[in-house]
Amino acid sequence: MPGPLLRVRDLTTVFSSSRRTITAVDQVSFEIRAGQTFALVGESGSGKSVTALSVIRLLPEAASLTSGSVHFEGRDLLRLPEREMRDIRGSGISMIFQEPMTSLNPVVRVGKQISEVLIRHRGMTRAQARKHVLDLLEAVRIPRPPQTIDMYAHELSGGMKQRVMVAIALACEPRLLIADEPTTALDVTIQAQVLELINDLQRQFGMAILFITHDLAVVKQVADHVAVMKDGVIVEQSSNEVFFSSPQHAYSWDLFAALPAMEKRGKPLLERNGQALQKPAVEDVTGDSVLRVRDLAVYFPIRKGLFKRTVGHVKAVDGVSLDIPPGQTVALVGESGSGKTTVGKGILRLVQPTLGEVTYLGMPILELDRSRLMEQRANLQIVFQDPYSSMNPRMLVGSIIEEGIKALNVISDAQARRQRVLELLEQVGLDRDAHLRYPHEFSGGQRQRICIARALAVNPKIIVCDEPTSALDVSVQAQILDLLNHLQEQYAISYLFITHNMSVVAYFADRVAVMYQGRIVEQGEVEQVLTDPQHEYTKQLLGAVLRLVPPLRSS
Amino acid sequence: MFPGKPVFLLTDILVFGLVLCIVMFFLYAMRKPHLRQPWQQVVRSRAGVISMIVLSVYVGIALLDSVHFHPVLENQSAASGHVQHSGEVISLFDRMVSGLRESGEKTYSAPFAAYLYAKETVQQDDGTKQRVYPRLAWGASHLEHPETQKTGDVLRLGLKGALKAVVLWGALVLLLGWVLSLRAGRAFRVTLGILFSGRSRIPWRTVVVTLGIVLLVLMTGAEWATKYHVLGTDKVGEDVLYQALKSIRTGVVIGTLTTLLMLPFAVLFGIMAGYFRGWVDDVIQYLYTTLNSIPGVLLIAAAVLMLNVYMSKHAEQFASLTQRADLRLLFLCLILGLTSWTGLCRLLRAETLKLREVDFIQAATAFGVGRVQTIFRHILPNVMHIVLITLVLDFSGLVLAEAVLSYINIGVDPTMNSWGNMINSARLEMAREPVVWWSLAASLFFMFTLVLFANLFADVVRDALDPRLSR
Amino acid sequence: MIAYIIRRVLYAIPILVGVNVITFLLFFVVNTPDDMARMFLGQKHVTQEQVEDWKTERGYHYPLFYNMQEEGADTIRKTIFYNKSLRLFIFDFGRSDSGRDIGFDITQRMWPSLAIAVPQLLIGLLVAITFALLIAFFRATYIDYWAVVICVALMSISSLFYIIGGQYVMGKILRVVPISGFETGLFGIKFLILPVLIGIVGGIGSSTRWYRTIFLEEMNRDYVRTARAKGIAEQVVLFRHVLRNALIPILTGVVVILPLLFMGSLITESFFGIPGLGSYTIDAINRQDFAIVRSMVFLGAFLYIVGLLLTDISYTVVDPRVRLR
Repeated sequence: MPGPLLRVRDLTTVFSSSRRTITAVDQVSFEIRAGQTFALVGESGSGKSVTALSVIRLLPEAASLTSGSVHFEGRDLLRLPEREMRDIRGSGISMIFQEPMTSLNPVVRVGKQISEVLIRHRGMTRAQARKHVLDLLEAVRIPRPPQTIDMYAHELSGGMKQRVMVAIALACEPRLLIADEPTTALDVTIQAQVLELINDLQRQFGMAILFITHDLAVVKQVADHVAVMKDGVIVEQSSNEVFFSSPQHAYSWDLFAALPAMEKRGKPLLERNGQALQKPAVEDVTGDSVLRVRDLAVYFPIRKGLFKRTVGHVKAVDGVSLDIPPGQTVALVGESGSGKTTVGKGILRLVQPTLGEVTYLGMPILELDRSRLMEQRANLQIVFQDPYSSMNPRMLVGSIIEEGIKALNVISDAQARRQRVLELLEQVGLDRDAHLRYPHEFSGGQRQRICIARALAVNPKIIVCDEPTSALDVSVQAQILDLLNHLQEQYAISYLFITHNMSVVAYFADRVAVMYQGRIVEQGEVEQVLTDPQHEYTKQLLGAVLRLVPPLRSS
Repeated sequence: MFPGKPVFLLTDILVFGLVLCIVMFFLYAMRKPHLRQPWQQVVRSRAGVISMIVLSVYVGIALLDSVHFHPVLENQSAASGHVQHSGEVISLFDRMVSGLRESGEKTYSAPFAAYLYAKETVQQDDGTKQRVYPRLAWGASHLEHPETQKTGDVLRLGLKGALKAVVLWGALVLLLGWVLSLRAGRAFRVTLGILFSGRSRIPWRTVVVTLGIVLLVLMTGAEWATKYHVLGTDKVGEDVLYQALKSIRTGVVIGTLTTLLMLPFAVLFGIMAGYFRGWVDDVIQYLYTTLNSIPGVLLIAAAVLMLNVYMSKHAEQFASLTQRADLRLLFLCLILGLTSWTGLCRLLRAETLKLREVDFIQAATAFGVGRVQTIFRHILPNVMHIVLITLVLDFSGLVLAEAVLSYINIGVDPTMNSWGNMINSARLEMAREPVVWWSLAASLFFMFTLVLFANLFADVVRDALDPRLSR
Repeated sequence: MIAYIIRRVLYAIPILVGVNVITFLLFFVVNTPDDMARMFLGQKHVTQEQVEDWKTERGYHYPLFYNMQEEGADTIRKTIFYNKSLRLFIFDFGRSDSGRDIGFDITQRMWPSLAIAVPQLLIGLLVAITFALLIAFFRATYIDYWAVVICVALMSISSLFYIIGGQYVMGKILRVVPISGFETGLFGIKFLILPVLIGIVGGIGSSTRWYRTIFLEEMNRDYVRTARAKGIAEQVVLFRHVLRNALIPILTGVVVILPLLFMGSLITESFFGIPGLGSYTIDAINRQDFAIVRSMVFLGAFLYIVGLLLTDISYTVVDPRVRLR
């Protein structure tokens, strides 16, 4: 049996700045055989991307390889002069990156960006290369290659751009493809297509893949061999079958435990032997919903022509009706651009809806004047997706939480207000002394807790959660979901949970509404919609979701 | 005791107001970690401390030169009971270098010269008349035979100055070492070791070395200046070193007050345009596009021409030449500000437009926080770094602009000491044979030093406040 | 695109009106024509009669906005506002205070200005981009560090120094080129060398540093990493990928000043005795010829607005992502 295609031994990479040095990759060793798919899994900051960049020697300037060897087809890449390394890049080893939006040159036609590799490594003429590029575009299933070849990157959708990236990477039929989170930035239906494409091309060309991802479901789908990274170290390596049936390392188990899934409904994700959650009893007198949304529409005008007259509208939200029952969670799912965030902001009048009505306990929110709206602001709150931009970096955490209480005059006594802030911090699981610190001193998950505390401060009945866990790692997501569940149990808050993640919906929501192009195509009880979808789009969406049943821990 | 009756020129008041603002901001920033952190970074960079030391010499002179008063008239009868004041306005700095100020010669003389630069007909002792280079009235007048004694005397004075500098420097270093060792709770010798090893977080070794060089230059220069015209004299015999030093205030005032005067408008309009959008934005954009479309130099020229007309018509309104020149300086700052606020306004508008869509502003809206409060609590603190960067970045450009404007006669008052006026009156001297170069060289060198270190400082401040803007 | 241009042209009108109002206020309201006359004739011993004569000769004797002594359209037409401000919109600049035809002077004097400004801009751009590319290639080395220090030092030197020093060294000591003067035709080139050279040297520091920042910013983008991952050599990455993207802000920044090149440079032209619009303006300032200064303000504003429009259009040409609507 021949030796492995790629053999990495004791690879160590450090980032050094004037202040300190950080070991991003710490004595990592692994092997990839020809034709094999090797998945490197880990959360953000685990060093998986740096490992990949070390292999192909494209590290940023602050990073340096301090020890180890990377043997590719018998040659140690780390000892090759840069000139010879360039001959390998793009022909022996290729790479696809996470962000298709920024990874293509915006001012060079895509055809030229692909033919550049062919001219460089295959010594083709421009005409030969162009012909070959057309074949490649065909191979990556881009419609109408003769037109696309002369387009610019911004004229293509995200999925199409990633296909172009794949074409660039595969142009010279490399023996090893490094795919760094190739589908993370894509919608789930597009993700399925791109994964399938990579899989087909792998079989066609017989190349090996180093697949880097944080998504265990994707790993299960594509990988032959799995390595789990944490803090720069590979903690576990095993075959796909072994890993997904009986993982060896405790950290792997933690990862599985944190995954939300239909099977875990009603139980906290992280507390072992946790008690079943008690959904609050509905004892509201006003009927079956706290919030009624009817025919909500948000249009943005398209202005054209000499005098910028409005010639049409972008119908971001086009007739959405929803009911949010007290103490329950309604999930609003959809892919990017479906208008789900605009619905959330429209309900809170952070964007002004064009049509429709929103009623909170009988009160027409959209018709209230400024002062009356102010009074209702306390009842409807919001938690945003990006925990980094949702807090003023120049304010103390204490003042951030206090701001709403003060503005809405929930508590007028300054001493009592301070007391309340401390209580809130404890409630969301932070230290009391956090109120004297600034947002940048906290991690993403902690910041999201502060944001929840801020929303909670004014005793809202409804919180619009706009993708609150999308920017977070799975384990942190689990903490936040557990926290939200506890708060709901305690205060009977209703959530409008906006997300694109189906497994979060399956675990967390009571009802679900599926949005597509500004409209809700289907809504109902979660179990019913997810197991027996009626609408064509829902079926397509659910079909694209990669399912992963986490292994059960045998005590 | 204050040496006379104080005079408060408008620019003086503004300059000291600015100093007060900076001190207050400094005290405030020390308590806020996110404000303190970038300045710590400035203090920790070598370029930062070097430029700060050099700039503080300039600013110190400018401040001393901004305390004006009518001096007490000398040799008045003590019996009269009350003190009489001269009509002339001088500054504290003038008083400190009174030797230089009063050391007039007849006309040009070269640096360190003992003789005038032009021949004169002098009556000899025997009654015959001869064309000779006469001795200077003040420069090197203490020497009997300058031809033989001058070199030795210059060296001796230089050495004396250097010695004073070394003693002072040593004392300062010891003081610094003592303070540092007290603060860190370390032994004095250990502290000195760290200080000179260059391993400290704040680059103390750089500080100490720069301080040494600056002291050396200042002290030897001062020592020479007691006996010689170090940089020669100009056409009317005024000491060039004195002129160059007096010009510092003009440069510093223009560099700082201009930005200060336009700041409120730029900040207010920029934030309002970005935050309120709609017609407010349209009006403000119209305003700055219109102002911006007039070429800056022409707008300044037009405004200064009009000021000339106004001043010559209302000559009686100005109490003294000094006040008139001061008013013109202030007006120049205003008009320079008028042409330069648009840049900052546009930057702030763009940043505010971006900020108002950021989640934390949306969160404030969701809490019903008012618009004025949102602007002051959420937007202003988050655009402050842009304001500060503009403040330091514009400084050097304005100092250079003053020279050019004064050169084409639309700058400061011709009676005011400024590098531009010095260059303006010196440029024709380049055509003389032999060349009179010192006036030009002195003004360009003083200006270059200020601008260079201001630029270096601006770079460090920008890197510290906004890492995005560089690298 | 065409609708966009038309809209921008329409938008230019209120701006030009605004410029006009500002200059009108500055020249005729802050100070009256009487003040100007006295200023021009000298303060002392001027009779009111002489002042009136001066004003009548130059058309300043009309009322500002509304002439009550006239009938019909003349109530508007025989005013200073109509004659001195509105006429500018049809590029009728009128006569200078010393009686010269300003419009004719402009057409004569813009060519020498262009002869200096155009080569100065083009060669300067080329040199600065070349230097910046070189520095970017050696980024984070000592070459980079010292190049930036030299750039900062160069931009800290007053432009007056470059001119005076240049004239002294090149003209007086080395005697290679004439210090000042101007001639048309091929022989005139020797007069252009020094001002062009000095203009380039004077601007090289700040532009090189600015372009270097743009280049470095582009080099941190993801597409550069993609290009490197293709196995392309560093200099090819720099030329084929980075340069193209970096040229967008550089070129569009240049386009805005293109029309203003007609106006020439005030100090360069006056130092070198170039009979261009710059020295024309500066002479007018020194002679306190308000009519010329007013005309130049209007012309400058007009050219600036043209520059803004050209900038927008140039974006669509060089950047495929920008579409004007």
